Amino acid sequence: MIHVGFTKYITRRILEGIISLFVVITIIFFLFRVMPGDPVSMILDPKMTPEMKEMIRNSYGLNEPIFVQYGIYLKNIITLNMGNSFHYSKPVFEIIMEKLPNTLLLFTSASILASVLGIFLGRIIAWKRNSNTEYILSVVGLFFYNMPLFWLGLILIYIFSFSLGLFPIGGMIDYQLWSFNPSIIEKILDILHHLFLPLITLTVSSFCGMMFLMRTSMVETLKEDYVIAAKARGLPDKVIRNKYAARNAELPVITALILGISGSIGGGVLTETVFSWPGIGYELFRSTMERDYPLAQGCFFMLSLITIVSVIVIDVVYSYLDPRISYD
Amino acid sequence: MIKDYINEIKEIFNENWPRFRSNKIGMIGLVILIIFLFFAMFGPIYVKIMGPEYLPVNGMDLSLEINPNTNSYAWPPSLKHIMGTDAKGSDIFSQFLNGSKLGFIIGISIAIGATVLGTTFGLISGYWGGTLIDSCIMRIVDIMICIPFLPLLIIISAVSGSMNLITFIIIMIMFSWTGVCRVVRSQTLSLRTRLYIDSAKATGASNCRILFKHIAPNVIPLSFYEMTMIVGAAILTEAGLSFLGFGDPTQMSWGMMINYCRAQSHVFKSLWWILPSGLGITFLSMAFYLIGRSFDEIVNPRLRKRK
Amino acid sequence: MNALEINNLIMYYELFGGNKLMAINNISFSVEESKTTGIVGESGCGKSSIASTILKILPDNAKIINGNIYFKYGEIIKRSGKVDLLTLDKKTMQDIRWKGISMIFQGAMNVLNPVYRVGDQIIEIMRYKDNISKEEANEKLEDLCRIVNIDSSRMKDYPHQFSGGMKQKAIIAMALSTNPKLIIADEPTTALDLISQYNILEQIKKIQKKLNMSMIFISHNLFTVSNISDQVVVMYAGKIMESCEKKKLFENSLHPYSIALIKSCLSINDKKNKLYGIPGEPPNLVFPSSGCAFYPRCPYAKEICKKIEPEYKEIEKKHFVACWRYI
Repeated sequence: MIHVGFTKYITRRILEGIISLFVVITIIFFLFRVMPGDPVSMILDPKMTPEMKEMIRNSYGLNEPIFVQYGIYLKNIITLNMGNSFHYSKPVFEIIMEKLPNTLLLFTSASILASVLGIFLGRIIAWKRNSNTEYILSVVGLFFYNMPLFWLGLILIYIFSFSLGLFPIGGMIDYQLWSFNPSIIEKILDILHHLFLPLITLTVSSFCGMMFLMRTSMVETLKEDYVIAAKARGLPDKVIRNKYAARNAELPVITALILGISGSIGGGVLTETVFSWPGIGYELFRSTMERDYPLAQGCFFMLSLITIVSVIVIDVVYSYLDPRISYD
Repeated sequence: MIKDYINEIKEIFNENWPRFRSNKIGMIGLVILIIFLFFAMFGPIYVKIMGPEYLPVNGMDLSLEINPNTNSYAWPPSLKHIMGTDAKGSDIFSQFLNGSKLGFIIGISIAIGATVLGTTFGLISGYWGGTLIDSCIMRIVDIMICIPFLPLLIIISAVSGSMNLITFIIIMIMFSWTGVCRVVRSQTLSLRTRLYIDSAKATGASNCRILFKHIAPNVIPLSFYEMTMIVGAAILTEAGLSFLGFGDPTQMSWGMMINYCRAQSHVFKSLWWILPSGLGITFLSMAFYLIGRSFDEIVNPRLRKRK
Repeated sequence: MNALEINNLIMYYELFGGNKLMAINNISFSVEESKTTGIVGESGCGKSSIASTILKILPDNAKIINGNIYFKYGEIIKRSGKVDLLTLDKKTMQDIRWKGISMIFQGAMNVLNPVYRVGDQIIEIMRYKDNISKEEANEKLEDLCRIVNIDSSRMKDYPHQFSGGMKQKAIIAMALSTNPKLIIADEPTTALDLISQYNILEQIKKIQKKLNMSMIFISHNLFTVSNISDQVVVMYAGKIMESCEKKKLFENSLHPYSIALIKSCLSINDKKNKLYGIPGEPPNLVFPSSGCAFYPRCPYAKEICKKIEPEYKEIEKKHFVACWRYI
């Protein structure tokens, strides 16, 4: 299935990703320099001694003209030297690497769950048009689709954590439990226990979009000649629905996913914040609140990287599913 | 030129209004929309009737005593405050009305701005498809798609101190046009090859005339559909940003109400504080979504239900 | 003995706003065993709707309100004698499809699933219908490729890698794959160039003789239809105007519409004559006029034609016509 042009196509995609990243970091650089006030104070920890401040000033080239500063800034990013966090007094890169798995755990599990659920339900409501199933699923879907996700999170916490006490209010692990050196299974169960509510919040608010996309796409696909021809052949309904209609209807949905990634990352930031999930989104929120600018920059950089990588991953998946795609 | 467009829109309206009226989901959306429009306009009148202590941002009812259950001035709904009060004794109903006004302002201005921008770029990109202009625009779109804009908004508002409403709207417009642009471009690309465009060219019509006279009217319905979708997204984004505390502090939007409630740890103590705003966001955004969906079903013949 | 017999079939499409489009208006004809019945008529006269009605693959807004479609081979669904397709439930109809009746679609249509290999799609239907192993199916696929003259290695390709002619051949192979008793060929050659048209027609004829199948051949091209058919049905405005054996159509056609149709075809071959067309416009199927459907364009129209519809009658053996001139 992999064509010669495929590597070329992916290379182009990655190149585009690098350009996007470059645009993003340039925006950040100028944001921090152009804004009113002393740019130095945004990079320097107020607690530092004057000697240390001078040292840092030199290492960032803050006494040089702005384009030299920009060059140094780029070099620092490429060498993953993003400075030290004021709050943690640790290199930003280290902190980000610590938080990255947590974000990836929440984000990927929610994305996969939402996609599977959305495509599955969309297929059902398109197949059973004008049935009660369609009406009920559509109304429920509409409600959650337009509901602000952070609000849904708060309500879920209110119901399941505060009133029923079934799930923890936030965080990722129970420190008390972990201090007793539990077994690995206990650890996993504890993380899953904490993961449940944020995962549900993120999934519920994003599967509806997928469901409606899939429905629209499938309703159109059902009118295609090849679906009617498959019916004429007397193939079982299940085969027609899954191998003919749904399989082709998925393609435009997957393309549309790319447009939604930026939004899902935003949703991820909100969810992590509501549930104090120790990921990059929550760290971004906290560091901006605490004016820990190096860390905020680092988090933003990482979130952009996740977006770009997701776009490329979806592209690759798409090219596996559609044999017609030509890479030029 | 503008007159032509107004006539065009009128024609589309006259042609489709009967169909829209028989479309159940569209009518539900319209009813919800009208209710919220009423709320939005009723806000200032309500404050005028009830007095300055009902002002959404600064007003507070000084006659209230501290509620022992919440340990603040937050009281559940009563005759005097039909949706209750917040921690400093401000009327939630008045805030809710003000929130629907802001919702309309934010949603509609961003949607219109982004649609105009996206349609223009999409038309240009599609009409001159395959040229340098087209690939420039499409690369810009591809790059924009890869920028997570809620985090960017957070960074911008953090660096600039706080973000006022106008700045927010401008930035949102800059990031919301890409979807419209892609849709309009692909439609234009297919329209460009139609016979009637060739015949217009053969009669010596200028590019500009073909673009605005022959192609643009055919993409307007699509743009309108995309516009209704942006409204919901814009309202939700504003709410999210305000919820995180990066919104305009001088405006009491729905997201801001939820933010204040959470910041003063009242979520568990006074549910009445966050319920109206959350439901407001949900239903206003839903109203636009429903109208867009029904409009799409009417204009897009492939989705039209038979009979 | 008739393989398929259609009696007084009426089908219409319900349109937006409640109007009815009468696509098939009281039609009766039959297909003799291992013979071919051709249906000819201008586009929009309801020929393709007949094909969809027989296989019951009509869209939701189509309504069948009258008629029978008798199919001879009840044994396919474990019944004896002929069965009325219109009374069968969904499940039984699924068993009739492709085992009893298969269809050659127009190659220009998007009939093959774009995301699966062509060969796999043919094997799929054989395995569902005949319950055979993968190896047997593969062998049969090779045979089919030989019959329709495609390189069997191309079966590993996707539909978009096929040319128009190859797609058409693949579709024919698919229709033959399960040895059906009756094949409906709906404009199988229209999208092709003349040489491929000829080749494919010859192939279809050969295969039909070899496998002893009955066929309904639908086309707007009178020559193609008369080339391949034994009996020809001339349709106009959802009705049958005339039906007769192939020879008689050219020697002794009776209905003014058939005469005009033949004349307009012949004039293409005859250099001396000017092109002959039928004056007037095709009929409106949503708001039909009373009387004979061809009346507004008919050179022999009389007062009675305008008022009362002529009966469709057998005036000699296997020769039916609906015209006031012969009653």
